[in-house]
Amino acid sequence: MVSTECMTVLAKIAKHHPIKVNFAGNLELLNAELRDEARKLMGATAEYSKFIVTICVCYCCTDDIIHSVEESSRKKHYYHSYIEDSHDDDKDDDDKDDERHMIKLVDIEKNMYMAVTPDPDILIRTGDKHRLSNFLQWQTCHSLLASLSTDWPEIGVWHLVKVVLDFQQNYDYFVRKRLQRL
Amino acid sequence: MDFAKPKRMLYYWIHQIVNILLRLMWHLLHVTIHLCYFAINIANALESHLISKGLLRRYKSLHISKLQYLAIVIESEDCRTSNVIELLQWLADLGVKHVCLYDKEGILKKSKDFILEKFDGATLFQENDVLLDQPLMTLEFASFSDGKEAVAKAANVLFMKYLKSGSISSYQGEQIFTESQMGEALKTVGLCYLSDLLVGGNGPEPDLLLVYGPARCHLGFPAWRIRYTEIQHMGPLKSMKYGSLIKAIYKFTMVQQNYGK
Repeated sequence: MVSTECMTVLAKIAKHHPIKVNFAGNLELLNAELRDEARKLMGATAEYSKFIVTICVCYCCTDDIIHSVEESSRKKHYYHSYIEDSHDDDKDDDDKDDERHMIKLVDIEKNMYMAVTPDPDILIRTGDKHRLSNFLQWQTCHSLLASLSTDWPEIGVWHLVKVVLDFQQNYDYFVRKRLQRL
Repeated sequence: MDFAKPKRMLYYWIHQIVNILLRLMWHLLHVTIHLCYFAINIANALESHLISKGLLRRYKSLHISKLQYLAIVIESEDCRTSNVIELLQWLADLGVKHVCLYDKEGILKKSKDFILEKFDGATLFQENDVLLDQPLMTLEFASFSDGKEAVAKAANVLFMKYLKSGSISSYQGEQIFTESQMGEALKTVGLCYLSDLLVGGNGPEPDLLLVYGPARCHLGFPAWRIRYTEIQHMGPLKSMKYGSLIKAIYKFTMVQQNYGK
């Protein structure tokens, strides 16, 4: 849940620390005031790169997949129309045309809301829950899914240390899986 | 006298010694963690043994009817068909009716015929199968190509369909595809595989996902299907235990879900 108070706190933090803030999700579902503040904050912190915080707003993974399929389709449609209009004499190369008009996996991943940030290494779920609840199941193919029994307000740095140590125990395995993917 | 060079050498060696000490501390910490996990594993093995002997009362009655569809993710490097067949036999004994076996590389898909031949208590899951009680277990085999790549193929199905109907506009705000259309397109992609006698893996959403591997990671199981799925890590397949399986299913039956299922 994002409110104007949260935005004010974020803006104050971003003013004094070099943090880049991204908002990932369907921002059109927010009211105009919040949407404008979010865009202003993203614009103001765009040049920082050392520490990046991505906040998912009005986001769920299946909606992200549908949105990226739509965006890819729109872009392919534009490309398709442009190619048809300006290359009318290139009709003999049918196979090449078909491949260029196909939506590829890389197009879908490029057009996702979460394309602003790399895939996470670790996903932490608090509250002793063991499900993803439609959050980042696409991006966490090779991520450690950590489940903490504490609730969100009680989470502390030692919980994070424990999760990072668990990740380090299997670090070679995760690196091998990511390299296989490439 | 020039003290700059000896001073630099001194700082360099202090830096090296501090680095070595920090590395030693890091390794010592991880050895301690290994020992702790070793002790926890021994305790878990003992508990599994007690559960499989039926000595722990609370695991005696499992409400297996709550588990309509079970998915199992297996690390491809550890995929031994003998272990898989033994696991399926345990699941059949517990009364699980619908199982999806997933491994990233598709090794289980390639061994599908062998598994079905050796384990005669199961049939292949068909696209239009409804999850009702059946005498035999239904088995589905899936791999990485049924996940992200299937979504890319479904995207092309939708794109071609709407290109022909001329419904795509360049107006950004308009939603042109819905979740149900995406679901239908994914089913269509599944049917494309039917002619090769491979089920496309676009079946129902599993209630529980058991991960047999070194870490708790779903390894690319179709994202569309694990929105609200409980995920349990079971350890490597070679050290699987019947008691741990019962405990995982018991924990699932005790979970409260907050959506209207």
